[in-house]
Amino acid sequence: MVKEYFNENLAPGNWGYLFIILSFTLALLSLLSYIFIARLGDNHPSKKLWLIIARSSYIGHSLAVVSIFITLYYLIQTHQFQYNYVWSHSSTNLPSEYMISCFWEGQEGSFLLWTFWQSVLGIILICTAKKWESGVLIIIALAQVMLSSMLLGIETISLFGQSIHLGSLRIGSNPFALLRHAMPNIPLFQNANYIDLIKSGQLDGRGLNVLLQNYWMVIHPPVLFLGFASTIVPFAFAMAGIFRRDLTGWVKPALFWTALGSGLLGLGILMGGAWAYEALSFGGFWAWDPVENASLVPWLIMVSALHCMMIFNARKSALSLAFILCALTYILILYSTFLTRSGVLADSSVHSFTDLGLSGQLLLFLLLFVFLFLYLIIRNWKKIPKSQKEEKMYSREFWMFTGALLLCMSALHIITITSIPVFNKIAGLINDVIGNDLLKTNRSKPDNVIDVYHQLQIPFAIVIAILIGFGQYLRYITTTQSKFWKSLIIPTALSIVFSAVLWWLSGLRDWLFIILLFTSMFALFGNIGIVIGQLKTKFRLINGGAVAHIGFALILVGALISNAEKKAISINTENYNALPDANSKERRENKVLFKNTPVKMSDYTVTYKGDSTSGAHIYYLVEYKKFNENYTSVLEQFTLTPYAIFDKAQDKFTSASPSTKHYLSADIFTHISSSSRSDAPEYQVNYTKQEEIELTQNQKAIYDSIGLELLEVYKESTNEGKDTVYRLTAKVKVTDGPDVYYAEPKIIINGSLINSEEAEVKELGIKFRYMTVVNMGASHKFMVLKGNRPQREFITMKAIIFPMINLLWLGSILMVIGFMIAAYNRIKFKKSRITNA
Amino acid sequence: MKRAYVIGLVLIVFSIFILMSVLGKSSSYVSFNEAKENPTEKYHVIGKWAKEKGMVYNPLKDPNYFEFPLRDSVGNVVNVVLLDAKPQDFERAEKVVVVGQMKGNVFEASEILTKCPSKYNAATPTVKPVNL
Repeated sequence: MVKEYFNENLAPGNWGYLFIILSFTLALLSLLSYIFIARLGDNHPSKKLWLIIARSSYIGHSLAVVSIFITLYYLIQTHQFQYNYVWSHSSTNLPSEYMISCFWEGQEGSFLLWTFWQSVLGIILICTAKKWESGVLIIIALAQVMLSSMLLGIETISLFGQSIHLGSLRIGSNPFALLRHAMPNIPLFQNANYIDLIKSGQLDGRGLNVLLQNYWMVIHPPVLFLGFASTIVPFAFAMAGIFRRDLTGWVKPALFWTALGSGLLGLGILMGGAWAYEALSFGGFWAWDPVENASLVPWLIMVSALHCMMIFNARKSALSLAFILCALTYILILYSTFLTRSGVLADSSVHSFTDLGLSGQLLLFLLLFVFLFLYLIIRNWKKIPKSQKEEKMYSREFWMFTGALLLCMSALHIITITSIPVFNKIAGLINDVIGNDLLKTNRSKPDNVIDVYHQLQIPFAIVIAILIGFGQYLRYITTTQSKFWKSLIIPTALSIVFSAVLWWLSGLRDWLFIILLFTSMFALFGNIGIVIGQLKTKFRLINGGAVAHIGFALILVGALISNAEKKAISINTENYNALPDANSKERRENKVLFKNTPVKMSDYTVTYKGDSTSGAHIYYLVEYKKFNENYTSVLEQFTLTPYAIFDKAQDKFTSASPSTKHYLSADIFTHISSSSRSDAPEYQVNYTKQEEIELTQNQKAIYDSIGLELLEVYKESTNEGKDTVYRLTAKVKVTDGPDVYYAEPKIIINGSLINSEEAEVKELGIKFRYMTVVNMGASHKFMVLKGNRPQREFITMKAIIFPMINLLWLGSILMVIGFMIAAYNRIKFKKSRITNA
Repeated sequence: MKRAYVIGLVLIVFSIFILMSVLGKSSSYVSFNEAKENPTEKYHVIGKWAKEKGMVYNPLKDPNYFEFPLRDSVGNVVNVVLLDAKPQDFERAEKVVVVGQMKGNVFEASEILTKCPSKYNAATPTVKPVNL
């Protein structure tokens, strides 16, 4: 073993770890001081002093978090591969715009990002929460303590002079751990000067996952984690209400945060969908993957909480549910963190983090907040004011409440399917306790899982769309019936007309889809009416809720049509040997395209034009042309460049990314599923015969029915050291029928060393070796090698048309804007009693 | 107050219905033995590609036909057929989950999940020779 390593530059790592310890201890100090302040009460004389301690330690904690971030970024930027995290998640050839993405490939980095956002929100709350500060910050500081501990990286503890290895109970994972600690037994670390290998570029990092090298992946994780972080605020306000024994006052200040958080989390999720659509090959924006569901479910609950809080704000009812849902949102965020990072989902999800051994700690984090909430809510349950009055049928709150409950049911359905692996674990534990195999432990998701989701989620969506459509035409308390029904006439009429048009345009067939189309259009026009109506009033208030509802309705329409009516146009009609199965005919979506051979797909003539390499990326040029009826003129033409990533080290294609043409009314998605490079070994030429041929300049020769003509020979000489290097290059024109190629074999003379550089025309399976100059340069001798003509270059691709997917993106943007307007209105009209913003 | 109880009851019943229906529809992780016994049922089988026996993916013959031998957890090797292109990262996968049912001697998969090691490169640092 080497005792000492040289030039390891351990200082930044030590500083980084110091910042980790600081962030943890200062969060703990801040937590304890805030608990103390809460116990002292508002008017205690020493409250001011404690507040200074609490605030400064919280701010110190936040600065420490920022310092960890900067230190780690510095190490990644300067390629200090002696650090495990840097080696694992970056490499020297990583484009600078993706440096930041290294933070969210690893668990430590993404915990750091989450901690960072939560600390920022904490500081905003210190500045704005006023009397709620101590209560709110107790919860946030507690979460910060738990999150900071995720970076501690404590694997052994010393007790009574004995060191105990914690194993699976380890606390956190330190992003500044050294590579030689992570892999102590590899030969590299027998070299005391291994740092020199890094500096000389011989030891490179493992690099960033190519799927993350996409612009959406630069912005999606920060926004999603900001959304994650923002879910703690309503929960913190609810708990602050309990701490201050003010069980009703917390709702008003928390409403802003619930609206904002719903917008941010929604934006993060939708950006993830955009990334999946742009960069992943499954062809779609949503796959009901457990990782997607894990953020969708808290969002549904948060939106449900938002509606309950609005009901309470206006009508003083639904408070108990608001308490539960605010807490449940955050608890579900913790649960989904546990699901995606503990390795529980290993068999059921394509993309979840690998187990870092933190599952014990994550479970503790989750259970701590669950039991804290249960303890507080059960103790105070009786004191939560409950409305004694019956809600009327013609009141807004009744239907809002129904909608909120429906959202919860929808969330329950999704999380139940997603949690099947967790049920297996629990069933296994129960079996262990009772000592037999009573419960089934090998459940998997349903085999037709998408249908199972649709079966309930579509009816939910139908009912929710109806509620969204008429909800705001009702007033709180009660509404005049005739007025209400009259106000629905225009939206209903418009939605019938427009959904009939869309039905006709899209060709939807499933009756459930048609109903959903109609109710979504009803939601759309209903809320457009609301927005117009309120702009006409003297308040000139933009109704954020209605805008968000319009966005949601458009998301439903866009998702519905683009998904139900997506159509593969690359159907393979020849060459198949599929199993005798009725379904299999519909799945022939991959089609072979030979280079430069046009293929008709739907209205387009598609040609594979060749590929071009840039770094590890191989771009395939796929040209689409649309002709007029007689094929006399081109109406439209564009080229898509889906790419594959070629891993030189393994000589394999590792992943492919689609390319999509966006039109206003539809998208054409194009994905390469294989190519001659990856799946046709016969692409390599096997040279079987050779013959020496003498060529004279500008005289044609024929060899094996291939025309040869020596165009010119040019001479270069360069001085390398004391030797002069001569380079002779022959330019040979090679013709095969109408096809013309050029080959340039070379001779390189370096003193007594003579090398020749062969030139190949792969398409014809012919290769030239420049042998010698004869007759004083009048002619030249070549060795001509000939083999089989290789397989022509080809790709197999999938082309899918997604109709009206832009409605989905438009809806996404509008929905997020709507939430933001609603949040803004909460601040702007704080004083006035506006209840329907 | 009464209506609250009714709503509560409806919710509980509905929640139980959701739970039971999901559990009822859930499929199972099994070995090929169970899949062979019950060819009408769709199952999940976890295994590893039996590399030494190769695989068939010849796009020029059929770009939507991929066949490979899968060794399940108890050691059965059965050929799995996927009527689609070969998944891009198939060779790198350390574990493969197939969803489908037996059709004669082969297992027809409607879905293949490949679990790749978290990294696509070697798991240990490799030192390159010096490039001059």
